[in-house]
Amino acid sequence: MHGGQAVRLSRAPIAGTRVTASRAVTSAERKHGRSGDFVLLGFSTRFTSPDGTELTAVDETIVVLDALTKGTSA
Amino acid sequence: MNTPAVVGDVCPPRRYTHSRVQLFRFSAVSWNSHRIHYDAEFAASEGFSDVVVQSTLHGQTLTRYALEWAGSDACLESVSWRNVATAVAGEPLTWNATVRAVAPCDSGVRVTLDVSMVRDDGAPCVTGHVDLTCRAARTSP
Repeated sequence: MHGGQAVRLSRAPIAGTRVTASRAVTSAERKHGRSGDFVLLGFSTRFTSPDGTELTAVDETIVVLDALTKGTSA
Repeated sequence: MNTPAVVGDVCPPRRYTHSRVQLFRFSAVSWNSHRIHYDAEFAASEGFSDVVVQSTLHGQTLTRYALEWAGSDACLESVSWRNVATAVAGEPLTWNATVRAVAPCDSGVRVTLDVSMVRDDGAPCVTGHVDLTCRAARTSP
């Protein structure tokens, strides 16, 4: 499930611009909460124009509840 | 927003409810196929009292009400939020916002809002920030 998100609009894309989206896993942490153990994944997505200018940046966290097998503690 | 924003200003709250149909449509347009958002029976099997409001719909609502408050001269710069608790279809929610910062920028004035979505019992579902740029003509003293 979604933990949260940050969206930054750096520059408005112009119609016809070829946009490249690059997505990466930026973090993976074992955590412990009210519902038990889980893994918190961080993702970063950058949308850029052909000259490398950032158009939009999105950073988000995903909570993975079933990522840990029984007997594995966070 | 008819007058210049001042740090500490409290925006008029917005009260709203997401319907099941609205959540279904939002799942469709955002390519979100998780069944907890459109299948009430499945959502119940996962322990939810109804279909679950998408996090990204929370983000869209945070932004939309902030822009409506700011007026037609405002542009969105950034939005960020954290999901604190689940909200479901039919549940009354309230959008709250307070002006956290006001600063001049190249295109006018940059306004940062502290925002939240709150249930009727006062518990927040979502907390976050919205950054807007407002043209100087509307917001400068």
